[in-house]
Amino acid sequence: MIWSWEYAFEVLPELLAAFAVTLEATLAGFALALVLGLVWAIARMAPLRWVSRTASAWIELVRSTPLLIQLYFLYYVLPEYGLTLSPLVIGVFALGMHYGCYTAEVYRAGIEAVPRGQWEAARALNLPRRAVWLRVVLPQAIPPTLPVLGNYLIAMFKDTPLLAAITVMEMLQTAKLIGAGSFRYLEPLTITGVVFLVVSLAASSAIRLLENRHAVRR
Amino acid sequence: MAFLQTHLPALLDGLRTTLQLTVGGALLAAALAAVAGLGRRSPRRLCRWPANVYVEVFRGTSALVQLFWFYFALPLFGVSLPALATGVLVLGLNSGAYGAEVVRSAIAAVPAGQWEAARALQLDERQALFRVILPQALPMMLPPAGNLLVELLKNTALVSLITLSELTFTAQVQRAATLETVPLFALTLAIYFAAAQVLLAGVRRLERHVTRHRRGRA
Amino acid sequence: MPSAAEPVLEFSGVVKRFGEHTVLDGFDFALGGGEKVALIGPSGSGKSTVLRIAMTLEDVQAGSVRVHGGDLWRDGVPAGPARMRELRAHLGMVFQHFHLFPHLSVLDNLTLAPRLAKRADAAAARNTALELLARVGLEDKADAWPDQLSGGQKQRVAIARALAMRPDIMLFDEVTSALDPEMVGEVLDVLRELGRTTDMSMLLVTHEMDFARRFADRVAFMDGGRIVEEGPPAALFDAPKEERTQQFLSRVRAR
Repeated sequence: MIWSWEYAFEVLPELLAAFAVTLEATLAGFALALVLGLVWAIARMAPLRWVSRTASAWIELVRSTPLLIQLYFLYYVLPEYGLTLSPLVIGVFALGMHYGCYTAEVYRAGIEAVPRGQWEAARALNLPRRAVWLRVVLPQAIPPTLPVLGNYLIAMFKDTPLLAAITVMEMLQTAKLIGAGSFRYLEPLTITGVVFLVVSLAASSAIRLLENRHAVRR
Repeated sequence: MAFLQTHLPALLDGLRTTLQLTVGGALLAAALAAVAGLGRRSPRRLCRWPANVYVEVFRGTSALVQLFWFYFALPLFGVSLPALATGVLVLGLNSGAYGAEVVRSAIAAVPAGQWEAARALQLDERQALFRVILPQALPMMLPPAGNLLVELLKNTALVSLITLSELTFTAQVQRAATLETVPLFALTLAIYFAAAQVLLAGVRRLERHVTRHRRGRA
Repeated sequence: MPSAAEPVLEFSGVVKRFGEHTVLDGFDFALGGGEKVALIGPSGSGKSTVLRIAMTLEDVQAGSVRVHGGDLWRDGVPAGPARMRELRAHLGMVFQHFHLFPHLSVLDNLTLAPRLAKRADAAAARNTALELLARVGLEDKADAWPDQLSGGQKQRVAIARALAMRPDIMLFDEVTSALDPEMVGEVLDVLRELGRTTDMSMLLVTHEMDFARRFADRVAFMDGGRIVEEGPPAALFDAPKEERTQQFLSRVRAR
């Protein structure tokens, strides 16, 4: 028998403990991505040409290049500037920066999808600028973006194993170490894969449910 | 510059391997996307279920986990592949799963009337699919396929983690030797960025070629 | 003129449901060889569904459908795929929204099916196509693309395309309803010419009452999934016997 159920159950607890790290990285990274995305999106829409152009170029660069290189970059460069951070924090930062460029595009698309007429009507009612954004535009811009943001959350979740490359003890790294110790890689790696599969399928279904409920209301 | 003289030849060597991974992976992904995309539409369960399982599993799990799993698990089943072949295989399987959805939705987007007109002209399903539907679906598949191709390029960096000396691995080696972290990674990012633009330009060219009969007229 | 022999297309007790909604409820109808019948009625009465069932685009929950005496559907059970293809070859259909193949030129639209299905060679298919295009008045458009044509021209090409497969029963599903008024005439002219010069059986679903009156051998009024009344056009239009027919006709005329 190539597969041993006994061994699988033996390594399961350690892997599930590492799953907590995976989750931590995902949620923290995503929170950062949501915030940074807003910053990039605003920069992109800035009236100053050099600001918006730089922001666009930055977003394009980060989205077209591998996350792994960006991760290495931060891992090696940040200490040179005197910042000694744990690998997990560096990983979260890299994930947030990378996916921030995706969320920025989502925000931009969401805002652009609000019809011009809404802006004009709001101004015609003499609403102050703040109210135009908070009461008219954003409430219409945000709901359609939620499923897309949800998909990026799942994508980020599936990218957390990259943090293994900078020694973060998330699931893949843990599975590799277990395997290296016992020379039995099949069970830990398969369990890792299955956990990812179950979580992302559940999350995708939840997003679809959310989408349907939103669609019905319109 | 001395910097470029030191590093560029090695990096370009790595780039060559990266491109091999990209092209090989893309060809495999295209074939799998076609088969699985059509399979998912099939009325026969025997065709639909394997296609669905393939797509859900490879989209729902992390590419890096898939890579490690194949790298460690295949030898247990008697299959011993070199790192390059493993990389091409996993990248193809991974991107093919996303591609299947692109294929399926493009076919679904062709108006039902086209199927009906084909049937009213005595064409059977196969003839209708290949002569009427697919020629109309293909132009719709290309823009998302271009994005998947850039994703595949980015994923080739992951293969460095199973010690294949593609571009990322080479950059790491150069960095370890010279510690010129920032310029080196900046150069590497620039190379990936340039490669991504070339790929996208290629896809746009293909798009123009496929829709040549529809342009420049009333 | 209709022949006294066996009908070329026959529906007996056909029931068709879309989910909860019953569109055809015990539908009986016969089309004779060489006969031209206009099917009229309010929307939702199931007229298009009748054509679509004949063209094997829809299934049937109960009843029988026969083409040239052969069973397409027998008591709700379909014929096997090969038999269905065989019988279906007698029929051709023209759709309300034309459904020309946008990725092919007009000529290729016409030659594709004959070359693929009947295995005619390229030269013969091309000649037939040019003849048919001339017949519908579009011989100069052979190398044009569908998106360069007007609605009326597209529909004429669609008719020529259907004729290229030499059906003996032609089905027309509201073929002028999607056209701007000034283009309706050119399509009706083609239909008139077909009626005069061929002995094809023709079944038209139409809202063009004047055309139906002058063109058809028989008019059938449908409502609620059944034929309410049928007969020669003059009789049905001038002296309808059923109240529902009278109501429909008066509503149509009042426009």
